[in-house]
Amino acid sequence: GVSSFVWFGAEGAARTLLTIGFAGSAVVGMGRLAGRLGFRGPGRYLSGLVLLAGPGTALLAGRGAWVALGAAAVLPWAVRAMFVHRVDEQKSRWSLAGSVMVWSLVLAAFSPGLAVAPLLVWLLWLVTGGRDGKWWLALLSILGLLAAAAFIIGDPGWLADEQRRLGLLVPDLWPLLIAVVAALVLLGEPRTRRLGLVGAGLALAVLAVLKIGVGGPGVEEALLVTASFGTALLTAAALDTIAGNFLEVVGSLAGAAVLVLSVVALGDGRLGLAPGDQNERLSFSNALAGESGPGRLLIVSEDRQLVSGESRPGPGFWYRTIDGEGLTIDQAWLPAEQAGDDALGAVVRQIATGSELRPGELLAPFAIDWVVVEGQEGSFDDALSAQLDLVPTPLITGARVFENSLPSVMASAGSGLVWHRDGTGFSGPESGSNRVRISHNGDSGWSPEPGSVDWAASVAATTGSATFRTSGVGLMLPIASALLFLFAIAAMVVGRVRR
Amino acid sequence: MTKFISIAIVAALGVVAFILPDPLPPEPGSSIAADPPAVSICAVEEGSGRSTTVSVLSNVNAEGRFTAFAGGVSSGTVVFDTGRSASTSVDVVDVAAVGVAGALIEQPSSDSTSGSVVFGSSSVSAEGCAAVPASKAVLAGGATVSGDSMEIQLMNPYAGEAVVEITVRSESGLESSSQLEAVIVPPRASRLVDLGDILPGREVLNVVVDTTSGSVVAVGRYGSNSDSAVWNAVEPSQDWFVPVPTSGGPRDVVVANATAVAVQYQVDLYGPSGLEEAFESGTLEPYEIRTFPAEEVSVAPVGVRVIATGPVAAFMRLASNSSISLTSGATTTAGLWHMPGASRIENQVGRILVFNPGIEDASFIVTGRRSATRAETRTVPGGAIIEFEMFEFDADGYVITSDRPVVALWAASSGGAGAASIGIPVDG
Repeated sequence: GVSSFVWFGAEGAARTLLTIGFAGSAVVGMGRLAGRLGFRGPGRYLSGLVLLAGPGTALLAGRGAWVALGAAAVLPWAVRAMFVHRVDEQKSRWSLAGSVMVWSLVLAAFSPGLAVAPLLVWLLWLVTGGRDGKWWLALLSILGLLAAAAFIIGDPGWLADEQRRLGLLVPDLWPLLIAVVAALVLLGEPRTRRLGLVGAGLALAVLAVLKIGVGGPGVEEALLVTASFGTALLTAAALDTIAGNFLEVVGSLAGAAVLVLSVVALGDGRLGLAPGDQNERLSFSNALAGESGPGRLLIVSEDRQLVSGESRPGPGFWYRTIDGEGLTIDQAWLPAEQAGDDALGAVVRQIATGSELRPGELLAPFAIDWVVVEGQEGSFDDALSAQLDLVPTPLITGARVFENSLPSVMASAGSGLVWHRDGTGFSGPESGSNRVRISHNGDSGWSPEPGSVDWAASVAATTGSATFRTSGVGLMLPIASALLFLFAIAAMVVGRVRR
Repeated sequence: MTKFISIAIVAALGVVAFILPDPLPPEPGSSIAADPPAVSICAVEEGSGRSTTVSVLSNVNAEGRFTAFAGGVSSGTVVFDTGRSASTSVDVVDVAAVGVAGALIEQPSSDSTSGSVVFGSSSVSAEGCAAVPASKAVLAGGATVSGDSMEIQLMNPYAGEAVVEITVRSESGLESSSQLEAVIVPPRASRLVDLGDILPGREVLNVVVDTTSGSVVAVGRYGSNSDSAVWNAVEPSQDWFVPVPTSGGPRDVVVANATAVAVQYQVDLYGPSGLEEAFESGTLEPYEIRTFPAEEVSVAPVGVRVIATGPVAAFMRLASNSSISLTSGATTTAGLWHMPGASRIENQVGRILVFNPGIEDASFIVTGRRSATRAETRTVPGGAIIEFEMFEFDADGYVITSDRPVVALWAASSGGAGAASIGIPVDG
């Protein structure tokens, strides 16, 4: 959002620039991290490419997880912040602490599951005899979890629910290749053995944990990025010096093979990201919206990869809803199921039986004005072949699009009194006695006079405005993390001034 | 030493990461077996001297909805209640004057049935309403010789457009016309394809309707002399049962090949002298049609069974100087038959036929459904067919409940016009 604003609202251009920035940050970050650990060879910057792809990040990027690239870009900086080069021993503790907290907060904001990764790397470095890392900086890195606490508390299943995993599988070639490269590095120059051992150990351990299949999508994402990070560390060690004895040369060649394998994944010009812009593809929902504004799209597919972001399981297919104004990063992961989600699930199952003549009537209360069935024709297409109120409208290729012929609005005070979006809330004509039904899960955070109509939220129409405010822990934690970020910045500035 | 311990650790981790099986990917729930909506799609005609009554027979006292559709819109809708008799009739004139159109009946239950009866000043036609559109349907028995009119009515009640390909074979062979290719039936519309215009002067016609997109129900509309007949295009099958009633004129069994390959067929006849297997047999060339005059066997009611090596369709045609009736055979025997619309014809002479192709005698209850329902018990011997007069007038329809699988059909004549309609088998 901020970058779009800075780039004059051109969301696509802003996203492209950020993606390029991620790539640059990953390459420079790995180079600076290896440099802080005492490595000066060409491999340290080239290993950034392995971090961007490798065995894990490439899978996430291919699935469209753009945020995972950001996490990969920040991870080496967060790890680097825990290590103090002997040249920097005189740096102020305030500066060092501030740096750790800043990078840890940013890392956790991109991927909460990675918040413990810097500490884990430090531990491995320590166990293998490394003394460069500072224990108090490693402990401070945990504070980064504050940035993600509200998200995790609100949806613990994102870390714990195995059924929500993306199901991404790392090819078996990778553990073999990593083990071979690691063995060669360990047989080679002593200077690079610790880095190689930490990298390989980290990568192979998380690849093994991935196979066990524990945790939810947050854990899966963190493990995949960590696998690429570990492989990148190993590659930096393998390519630190190209010349040497026979084993060292073979080790360098093996490291180069890892690099080449990673570059192939990046060679499509999109850093491995899935092609296309889903928001642009589904922009018809906004363009063809009536006076009440766009509602939601119901996306259905038997191929999970064709449904952007997280999806819920239906009978033989995956589905989710997308805001008609466009999918934003914060909507990629679905929140924990509430009454409205359960109600929609029941409706989707009813429609899937094929016996429902008026599926549009069932979907209207959820403000669903478009149904998009992606991929090959399947059971859901059959179910929609004999119905009366979802009109087939060929608007995009590779999918069947149905327009709900019934009006479906996000907020209404009844009797055709439509309320329109206004920021994160809604506004419309005031009415002393009416209540406004809002097609969102009921929540006491709505005002004024929050209530519910079945699963949907409702507010009084007396003020002409419906607003939503988080309270309690959900409000305090983001404020605390923002304050901590500002404090960390201030600590860095103070530390530099006082040096 | 430390070096080799490190290598061992890395090797062990590598082996573990390699040999561990991949975790099972998340799977969606099991697919739900498709269960079509409980609807019937009827051909109706209201206006230009003709009027239609749609009758509904059910096993429950519940509500349903009747919606006439034409030209892409709903022309009128009415909610009906089957009441204590679990039956009702809707006069289309009370809904809308729609001309030749389609009607969507949202049934009170999945085992409810509907039938339409169309009355004119000197014509009457009747047919059960299709419950499930067939992707491939066959219509035979009509003609476009001088004085006769034949149209195919394509009905699409749903929200999506439908496209059909029509294949026609006449006595001249396979016919070709661009007007029969990629025929579009818009949503909520009924479209007429006038074969009399496209293929005039044909004495026999076999029409195969292939739906390539969407859902369409096809019926034939045949006018001969002053009478008319409306009959369903049916999904082809390899086994057909055709009851043939008595008639004042020619009675034909028409068998049509629905495919582009030759099929072998055999006709078994259940007549007054019992079962005669392979009464007729032979080969039907691609899309060929054969007509077997029942008159040559007996003037009494007969039952016909057609067995083929490929998909065919069988129809029954009654014709006289002033009347024409057409209906399909049945592809199955059943213990429960609905005949919606039977007995709705004014001043009619109505008959019901029950055909028992089995070996053992069948005992059945025939019920005339109306506000004061009346029932009778009868028996049909094994391998025989019986015909009896309707006893309940102004009923919404008749129901046959048999202890053995049978086939039911009803026919009626009124003022020189005639109508016939195969019954609708009901599961369970």
